Amino acid sequence: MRSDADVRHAADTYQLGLLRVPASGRAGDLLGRGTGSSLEFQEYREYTPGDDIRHVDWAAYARSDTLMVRLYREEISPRTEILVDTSRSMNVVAAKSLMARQLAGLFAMLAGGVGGSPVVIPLTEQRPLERLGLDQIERLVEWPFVARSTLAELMSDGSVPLKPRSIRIVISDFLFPHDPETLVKQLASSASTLWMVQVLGAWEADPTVLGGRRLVDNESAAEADLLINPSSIADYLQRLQRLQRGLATSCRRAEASFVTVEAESGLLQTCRDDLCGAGILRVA
Amino acid sequence: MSFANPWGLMALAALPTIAAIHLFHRHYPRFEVSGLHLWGVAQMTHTPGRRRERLPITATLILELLAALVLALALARPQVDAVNRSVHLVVVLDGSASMSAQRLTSAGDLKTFRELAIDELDSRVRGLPPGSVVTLVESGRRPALLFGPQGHTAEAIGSLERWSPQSVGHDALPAWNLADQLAGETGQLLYLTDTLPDVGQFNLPGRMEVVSVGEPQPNLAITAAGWMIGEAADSGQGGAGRVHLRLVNLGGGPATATLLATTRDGQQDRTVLERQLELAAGEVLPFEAEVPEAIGQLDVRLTSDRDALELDSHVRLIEPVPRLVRVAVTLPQESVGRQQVGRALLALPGWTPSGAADADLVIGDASAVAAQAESQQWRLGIGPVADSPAVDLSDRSAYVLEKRHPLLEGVVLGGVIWGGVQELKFDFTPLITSGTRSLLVQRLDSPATQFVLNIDLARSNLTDTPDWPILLSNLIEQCRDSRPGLRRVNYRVTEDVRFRLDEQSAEGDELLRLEGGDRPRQVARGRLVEISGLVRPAFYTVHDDDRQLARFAVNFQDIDESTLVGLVAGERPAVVDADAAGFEVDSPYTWLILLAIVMVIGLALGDWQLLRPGLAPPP
Repeated sequence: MRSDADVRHAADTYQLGLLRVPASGRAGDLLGRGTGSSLEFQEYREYTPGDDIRHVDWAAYARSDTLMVRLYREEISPRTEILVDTSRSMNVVAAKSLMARQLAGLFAMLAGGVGGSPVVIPLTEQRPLERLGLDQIERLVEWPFVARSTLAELMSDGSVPLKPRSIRIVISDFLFPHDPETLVKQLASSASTLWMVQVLGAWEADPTVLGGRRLVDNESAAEADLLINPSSIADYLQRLQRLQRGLATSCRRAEASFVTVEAESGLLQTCRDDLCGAGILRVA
Repeated sequence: MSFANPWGLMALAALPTIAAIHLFHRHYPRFEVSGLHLWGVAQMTHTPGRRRERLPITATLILELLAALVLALALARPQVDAVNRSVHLVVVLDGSASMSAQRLTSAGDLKTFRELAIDELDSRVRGLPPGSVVTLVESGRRPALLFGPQGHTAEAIGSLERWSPQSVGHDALPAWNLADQLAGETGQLLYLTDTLPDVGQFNLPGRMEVVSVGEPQPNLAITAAGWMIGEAADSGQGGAGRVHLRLVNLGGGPATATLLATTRDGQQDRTVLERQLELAAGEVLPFEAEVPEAIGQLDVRLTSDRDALELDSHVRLIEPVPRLVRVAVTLPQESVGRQQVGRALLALPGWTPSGAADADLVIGDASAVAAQAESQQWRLGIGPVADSPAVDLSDRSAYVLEKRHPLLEGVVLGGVIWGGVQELKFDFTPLITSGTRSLLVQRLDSPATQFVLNIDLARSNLTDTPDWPILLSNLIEQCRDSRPGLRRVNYRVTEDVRFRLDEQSAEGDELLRLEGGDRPRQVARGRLVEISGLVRPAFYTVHDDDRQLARFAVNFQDIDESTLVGLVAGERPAVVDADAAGFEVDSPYTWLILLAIVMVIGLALGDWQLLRPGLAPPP
């Protein structure tokens, strides 16, 4: 993905919108949420058995006759897991799969830039799922979007090996039957941070009247005849918005972020308008 | 509103068909989507069985339904305000030859009664309400449909352009009955003729109106015509023939007429005979004239200003060809039988002496008959039959004759003494018997036609009675009839024509071709060819491929049809009016069809309403 000009430009322009105090990770450049071994003093607290004896403030003990322990901020390098939905639905229009590739590449490059060890996990039927390191992200360029399993199915059967306390970024259209609350809970479980990026095609986000069509679900191959008229479009949008509201609500409850991007908008506009707006990215 | 073609409403069945096609056989373009469930149609995916769906009302569907509706109405031809006023007029046209007569007694343009009838029909048809239909039937020996049934009024008169009434006298009742059937219960009946039929005498349908356009007319007619070959020709020596005509003045006053007989001479007509004749009123004039031999045919016309009907004043005649029977007498010289046979033959025409090998008829000893049998030859064997006891019958003997056999036509055997009767020892069919004795028999043990006269002419007086030449004459005529060829060549219309073919021509299954009259027709091939139902005066020829087998003439000769003085003009209204409800085309079915279609459409719409989203079960 480093060959993609938009991705390179975005990687130079933005950085991940992480807190200054990530939840956990190897000792690194970012401050962790908890106490750690960095030189930056955070606070005192009473000694409890098991605390590092080196952090006991003996001077304070002398003054107050209480064993106090100096707590320092933890400095970490965040573990970043980027789950990319490579099902057929993500390839219903070429722009969707391109956007998914670009986002996955961008997030990996940004995470790698701060010393993290990003892993891109394409969601396929392969077991175990393949994990692409930063040095392998170029494989995303040719990655086939032909999977039939949905994210919900993979999460239900435990096929996705998620590392605890990692930054978790999920790129999907979420246009598969699922319960948003359950899905978000599964994804947010043990994650230090969860970002969910919904990639939709322009027509999916805003359908136009087409008349009679035989709709074919490109994952389940189910077919149905339908008149795509204002009435049916209104019903569709109502269901889509219900789905998006459900995901957003569930994400708020899990302290996660949910954002919908339009594939045809292009990566740069998406970063500027949507991802920055959601706090997932910020200008470097 | 009514429909001229209510069966066209069947096209309305296309409406539910189109709806069903849209309901069950939609072929929308495929369109891939990511989340089919978001479209609310997940339950409509291809699962086993079919769910009932609401009919999608699309512009295509509406346009197709409108097109089908318009097409159905166009086919049904709706006619506003035409119900109860349309008429089915069934007209019987008198097809008799008298309808072709001219109205000589009128001033101005001479018109035939046929033309007057067409004028009357034209005025009737023009007065019919819109949407009416017409059926035309021609009376004749067989009623014929000239137009329709239920044809457009605009085409009715045009269909009579080639109508030519030429029938001999016939009963019009079959045509009336046919018209009555065609009219149904509501049609109107009209009989156009040249004289008013007697209601009491004829079984005229009560609702039939009769219009006669006839008027009494003078007429001259040739009521009989024949061509006889001369005596010399009859004996095979050639000679002039004689034409016999019977001329009749059927008018009320004297008439001067010209009789002209012509024959074809190459490409031109040559006058053979021309006479000026005076015929008194009602006079029947037998006319006979000699005509040259070998002229082939004659065209005889009688013309006069007092002749209203041309058809019966014109005859065509074909010159008869002598059909001589070759007779061989093989009886012993100086025998009584030979003398008596020879004496009778001298008085009979139409035969010629011949050798036994070439003869058509051999008259010889009864004992030699069977041995010399030839399948094509006729033989008469005269007794004594064998050396056996013989008995004589008196002149008071009771003779039993097979009267149906043509050989015995005119034979009575009154006062005949039959001598030398012997016992016959072969299979036979008796023709004359007396008690148990068979006197004249036809042998059955030979393929040839053989008769045996069980008699000793020296001991009998049969040869002295008129029965003897009559018997021999019948024998010669029967033998002549068995030879190939026409018995006669000149016939009158409706007369049956019979002739024999030779063995070679009689074989095969292909039909013969009869040419002449209105149109060629086919005739069954056989040893005996029979042609009947010839109603058009003309020369006729019978062909086997390119070979002409026979040629004969048919002439119109019917004095009843030629008598025009009894024609009466007038009108006779129908005794019973047609059904006041008027004419309705297929009315019992029209509304049934409409009702059925409305029910189908109603059910379809009801079904559509029942399946609307508000009432549909939750997905």
